[in-house]
Amino acid sequence: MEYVLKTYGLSKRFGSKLALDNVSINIKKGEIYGLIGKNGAGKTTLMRLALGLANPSGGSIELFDGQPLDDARHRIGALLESPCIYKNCTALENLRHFAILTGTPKEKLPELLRLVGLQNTGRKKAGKFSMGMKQRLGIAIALLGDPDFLILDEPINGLDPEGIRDVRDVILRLNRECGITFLISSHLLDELAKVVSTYGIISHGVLVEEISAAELAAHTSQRLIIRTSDDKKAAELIKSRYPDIGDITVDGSGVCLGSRIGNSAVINRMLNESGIFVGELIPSSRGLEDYFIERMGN
Amino acid sequence: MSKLLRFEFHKLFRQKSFYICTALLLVINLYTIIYAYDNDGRSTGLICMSVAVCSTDFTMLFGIFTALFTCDDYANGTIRNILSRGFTRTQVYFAKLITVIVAAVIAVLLVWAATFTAGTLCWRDGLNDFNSTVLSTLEAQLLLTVAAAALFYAISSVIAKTGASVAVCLLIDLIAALGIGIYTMLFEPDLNIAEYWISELRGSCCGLFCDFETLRMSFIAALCYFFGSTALGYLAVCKREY
Repeated sequence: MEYVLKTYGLSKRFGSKLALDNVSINIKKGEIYGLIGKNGAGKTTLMRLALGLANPSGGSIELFDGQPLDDARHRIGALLESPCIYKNCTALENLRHFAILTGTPKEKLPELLRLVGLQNTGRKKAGKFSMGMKQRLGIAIALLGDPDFLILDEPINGLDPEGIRDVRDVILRLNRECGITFLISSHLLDELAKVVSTYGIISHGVLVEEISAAELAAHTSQRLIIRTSDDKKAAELIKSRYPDIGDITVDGSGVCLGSRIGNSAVINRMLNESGIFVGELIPSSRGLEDYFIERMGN
Repeated sequence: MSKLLRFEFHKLFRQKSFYICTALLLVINLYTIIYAYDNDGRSTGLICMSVAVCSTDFTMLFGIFTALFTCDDYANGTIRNILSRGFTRTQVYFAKLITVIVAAVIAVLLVWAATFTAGTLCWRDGLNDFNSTVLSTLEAQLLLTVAAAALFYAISSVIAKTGASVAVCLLIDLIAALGIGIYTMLFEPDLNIAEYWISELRGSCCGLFCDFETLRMSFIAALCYFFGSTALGYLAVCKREY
């Protein structure tokens, strides 16, 4: 497996505050990795360390399977917090400046502006752009030089719904068509869920969990809670009748099923026929938000 | 590094402050010559040229430009875009320093060319006065200007805030005079430290008849200022986090 970013016990201390504590993150080539955490959890710090903008207090970083860090960073594009742009220059002038750094041919610049929807900004200075426009320009700058890995910190901050959709489409297209790997942080969980293939949950500087979108879906899918006269016996009966049922738990609220939810009527009849009285059948769902809040320790 | 240098020069030649400060330098120097001519002054192109870059106007205006140019990337946060692309802090520091030095040399050459032409048009060229001392004086002036540019650059890099950097570069003579005054008052040194201040040296290394000792001191001091401020500035920013 090829990894674009791996960290080993990465730590960062600001004075007495430990902003990152022993974080070991693994981002595989070609995936869209969503970094989730509350404000001040350490998301931006982790990104800054990966980009070489800050120095780690402990641990190490490996980019592109051990390529020297400064060389590897030539293959990275980034948008961190507020977009870093020359405010007294137009969008095209900004791109022209940074195109020199990345060796991007001038002919590609109008195409990049079109990609982020800034082709009609003309002579308007970037300092007069709305937050969303600045964000789009920041993304265009990050895309200069055809990077293999894009680090985007809150890329949809300040964007209108149309802008959010455009950025999402760009991310998905670049990932699918060009194989670009992404590390994205966002507070908009539902938006993140539309693109992310792996999540990293970070809380108080600690990487709590790395979980794939598929695994997360299993955790957050609908559940069926069955309250019976004998929950334990009911669980055993359901398990013996449906061996492939997967997660089945018994707690104070009843028997909890993670699958076969559509078969609730059949299960109800089967239990009744077996002499177990079914009091209630409650469909329940746990959303992304609930899952993350739970994992982040709230 | 070549990409970084191209990036910095691209920025320099698109920086309004560079053109404004250079234009102001030319206007001030030309005005001085025209004023002298109108008041029946006697001079030559060579004399005008040899006193042009020693003035405090030059120091102040070049200080403002250096502060604006250097702090641009820090103020806009664009330094992050550069560093995150794999360029090291050392490369960034020296690419900017080289650009500032080139800007200083361009400004000096332009001012020399303009003052020599204006002086020649007003009186005569005075090239028959040109000798090795005049050449050494001009070399010392150029070297002192480059050293001043390196000093302004180091100060601006360390402060990294446009307003504060402009203020310090503008008031540097005042700050230095104050510092030297306090030091002299407290420690009563035998040496007159004020003589070694870069602006004092720039002021004394002026005209056609500089003595050997002044020139020697100017060369040594220019090198000390250049390497000293570059080393201190670099040490202050090489570990900085963004």
